[in-house]
Amino acid sequence: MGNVTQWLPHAKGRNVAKAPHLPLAALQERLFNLITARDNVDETLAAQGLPQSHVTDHILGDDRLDGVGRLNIYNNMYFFRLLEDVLQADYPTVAAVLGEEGFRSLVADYLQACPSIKPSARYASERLPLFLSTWGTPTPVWLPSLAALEWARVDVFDDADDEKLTLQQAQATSDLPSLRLILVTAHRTVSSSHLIADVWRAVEHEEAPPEPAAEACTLLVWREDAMVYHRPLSADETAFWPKLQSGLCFGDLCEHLGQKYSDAEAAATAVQLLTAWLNDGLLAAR
Amino acid sequence: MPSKSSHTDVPFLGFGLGLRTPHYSEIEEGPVGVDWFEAISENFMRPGGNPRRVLRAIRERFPVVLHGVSLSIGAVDPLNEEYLNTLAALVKDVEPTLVSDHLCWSGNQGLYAHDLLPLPYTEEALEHVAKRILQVQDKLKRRLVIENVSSYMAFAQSTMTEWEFLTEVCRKADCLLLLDVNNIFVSAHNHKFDGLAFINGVPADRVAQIHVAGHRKRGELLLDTHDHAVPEGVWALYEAAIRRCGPVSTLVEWDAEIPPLADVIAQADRARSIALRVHGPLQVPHGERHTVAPARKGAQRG
Repeated sequence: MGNVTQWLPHAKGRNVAKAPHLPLAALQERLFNLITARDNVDETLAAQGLPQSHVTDHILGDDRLDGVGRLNIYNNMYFFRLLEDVLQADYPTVAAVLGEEGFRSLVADYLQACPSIKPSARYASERLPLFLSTWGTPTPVWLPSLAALEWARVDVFDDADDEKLTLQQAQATSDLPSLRLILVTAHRTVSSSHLIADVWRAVEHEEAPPEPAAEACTLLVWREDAMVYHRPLSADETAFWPKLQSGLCFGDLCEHLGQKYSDAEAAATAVQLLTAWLNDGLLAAR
Repeated sequence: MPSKSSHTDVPFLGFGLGLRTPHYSEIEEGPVGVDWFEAISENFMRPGGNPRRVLRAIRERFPVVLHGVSLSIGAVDPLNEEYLNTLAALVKDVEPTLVSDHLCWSGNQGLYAHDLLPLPYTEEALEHVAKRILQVQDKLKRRLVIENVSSYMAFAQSTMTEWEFLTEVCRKADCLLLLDVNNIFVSAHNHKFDGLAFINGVPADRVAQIHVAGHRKRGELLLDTHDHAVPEGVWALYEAAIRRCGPVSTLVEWDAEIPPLADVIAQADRARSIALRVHGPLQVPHGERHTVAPARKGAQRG
């Protein structure tokens, strides 16, 4: 093996053979804790009463940047990669509501409370809606549900595709009451005490986020090919959506609506709903 | 069938691009002047949905290689079985020409930093990494391709150079190399070593793929940013690499501030023109843009 000082001129003068040695496990644990700390490496060392040699005994520096400065590059990248590439990308509306400093503070707290536990960064932000509901900083009461809406939109994007039930297939069914209504996999529902879709829409149009009206709503989020949509469920839909999610037949739908409407109205409403779901690509052909 | 390189049993795919979301529709819609695509494994691991659909459609037209960022082959944590099972399923579905990941560690004690953290180049790390690569290769039933990373820190306890470490990893695990020329350029600057020594130090017959990309200067160091065109210094190292290793499947990475597809293709064309100058016309086995020539030059062994 070559002499390490041949390719690290800045290490000349060090007795590399006598460099303090940490087993790989201890070295990785030490570095990981400093890289993922809330504060930069200098501040973390100071806060923990540790000398700079805690790092510089193991990481080489030179006249351009010392070992602590070099580790600090990774500390910075850890935070800003997750802030900009993951959380800002997944929650642009929450970020707009909180503003740059507020969102940055949220992410700093979130990463300490909910560090990433899956290899893929795709999941690093999935616990933000839940975290927001317990975050100590005062925020609008509807913010967790707005975050839930944004996560639902992210989550359905790579949900499994289903073969869709078409209007033609439904029309060709000889026994319409027995037609099974099965929702596609790529859908979610998000409930809120406020009309959060108004906030989402404003930010999407690069307008200032409004204060949403206090009105309970359930939003349906779904994907058609590469496009993700959301809309509020109607009162009729909201009433039997849990049953629809567990699977029911068109006849069950009519019966349910019959509790509220006359037979004729129930049938007309059922056909209207079925047509809308088919047009939106919400039903699977299974 | 893809043509075979004379120095490895890995096919020469020609000149490709990293598959990135802003380019999906353009690539799907019509002919694209590149030979192959590299897909980030983690972006396609969920078994359904739009990303997998796009990948399947592209795979029908082009060779595809899978490139992972989360294997964390150098971490001391046990390999993540769920991740490995998902990767194995993706490999089975996509049938990529190559499967690669980085010589790095990314997590500790069940937590992940989502970064490509460098290892100390020690005997302990060497044994650890080689053993884990063998585990992964057993799982995937194919040789893994390992990429050198850009780094901003080096370890006092290292007892060998990065290229010596890579060489030993390849020998012990019988794996292949993805030579990221931009990463060599960046690390050479940051740690004051000679990039050519790196290129001349790795086993040429293990180099299955090359990456080129852009970087930026931050303070006195270089950062691996992939956010602009390939700098001239990286092209010079690229030329040195293919002079030594022979024609190697070459890929342009552009991951931030992503420009129109044509601009990225122009970078792949630059690689193609350098290879043409070094090796003469090359037979590219696939792609919608064939460069057919009577014969390929043999590899130049260093």
